[in-house]
Amino acid sequence: MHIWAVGGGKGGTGKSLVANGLGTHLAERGFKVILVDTDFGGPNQHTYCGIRKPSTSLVQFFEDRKPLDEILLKTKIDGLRLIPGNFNSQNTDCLTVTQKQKLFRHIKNLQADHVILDLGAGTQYDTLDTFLLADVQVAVVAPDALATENFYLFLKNLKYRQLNSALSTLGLRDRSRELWKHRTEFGIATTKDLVAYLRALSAEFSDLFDREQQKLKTHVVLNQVREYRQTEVGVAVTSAVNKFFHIPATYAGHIRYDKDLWQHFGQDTPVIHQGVSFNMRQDLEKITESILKAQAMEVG
Amino acid sequence: MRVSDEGHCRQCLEVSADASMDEITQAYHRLKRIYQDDLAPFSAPSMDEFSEEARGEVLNQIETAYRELCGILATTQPQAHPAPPPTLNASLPVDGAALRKIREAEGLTLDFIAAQTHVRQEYLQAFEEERFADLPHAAVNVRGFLSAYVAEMGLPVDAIVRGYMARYQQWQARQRK
Repeated sequence: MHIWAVGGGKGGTGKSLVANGLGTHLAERGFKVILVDTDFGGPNQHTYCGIRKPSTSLVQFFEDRKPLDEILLKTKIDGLRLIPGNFNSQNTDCLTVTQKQKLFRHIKNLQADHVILDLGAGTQYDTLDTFLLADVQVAVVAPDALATENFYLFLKNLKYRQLNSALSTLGLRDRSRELWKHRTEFGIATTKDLVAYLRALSAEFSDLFDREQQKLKTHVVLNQVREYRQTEVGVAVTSAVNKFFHIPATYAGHIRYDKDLWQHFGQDTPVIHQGVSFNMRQDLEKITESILKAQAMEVG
Repeated sequence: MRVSDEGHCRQCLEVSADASMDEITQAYHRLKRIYQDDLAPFSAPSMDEFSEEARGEVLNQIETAYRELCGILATTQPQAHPAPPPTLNASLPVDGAALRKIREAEGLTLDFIAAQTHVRQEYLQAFEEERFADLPHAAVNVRGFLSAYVAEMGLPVDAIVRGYMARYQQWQARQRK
């Protein structure tokens, strides 16, 4: 089974759209797919699936201890099922670490070919951790300065998260804080210097951090393309992620903006299906194929 | 970082192991265009990673990698001549044949575009074949229909329609004589 995570930092760039499009296309390819709405603060994957009033939700998993199998909902697309997000609960966005860990343990045991996690916006720890947990990491960006800035921050924070978890595992967290606090004394100016210092300090840290970093490889998707020339932003952002943030990134493709998309929400049909928003469908298919191809190449 | 061998150079220029000299040259010019412009839409000037220094270093790496690749490939592919890079702007103004090519590359059929834009398929075909006589008589309709067609394909409407209409108006002027 492959776990996919769709993230990207800024809200409204199309993470849920991409998650849904990937799921739809994989299901149409004949795979068994489960979409999980892990946007705890703003779940809306059910609306993309055309389910107006989901009969189950993650609340039943968290509060009533129901197994995930029992809260799986069928969608109108063969092979595509949904675990709806967290609503009608008093604590929608403050799940404990234990609760989240339990959720991921159970997600790994789901019976499916592909499980797609639709992440929330922002760079909270649990969002970052979920992204890092996935085998297929998809990051969505839009061609404007707001989205790109938040997108880089998201990726940068992923790296910090990896650094911190390596430090915590080895009990070097306090040591590292001290180093940073007195950094001028140690000739440290940037995080890069700090990492170099820590690497020299501990071979164990060096190995562990390398292993952590190998877990981060992202596929970049550019959404909301209104003009053809904007497609170059996707190539440029991917290049910058590789060159400035030293995170291996491949460009999966772009999705053209559909000015009529809003009209398809809130109905009883899946938003992305045959006949609706043809361009977008076509783009999402291309992106899915491109990611599958890149993943296959990496394995092979 | 010193770019030392062919693999590293290709990685730096973001091209595959089997990319030809032409493709490498295109990638080189594209990357230069990307990293030279600090106001480029992909840039995040608020972040240290995008400092002028960092961009300068990347530009140096790109330059070195390209020079080295040229040297390596000159011995293995002596016939290769770097071609000038096609830029998106250079392909404007877009004529009917180019519109058709783009449409076909996007996998869009004329009847699909006709259904989406409510412009008759005969007109769309006339646009692509630049058969100006078969277009609607009023220039305002020609402009409106063309804009709808160009917008449907997600292309820059203003630039393309301006160029196209200039050719259309020249044709009109010739008709009047």
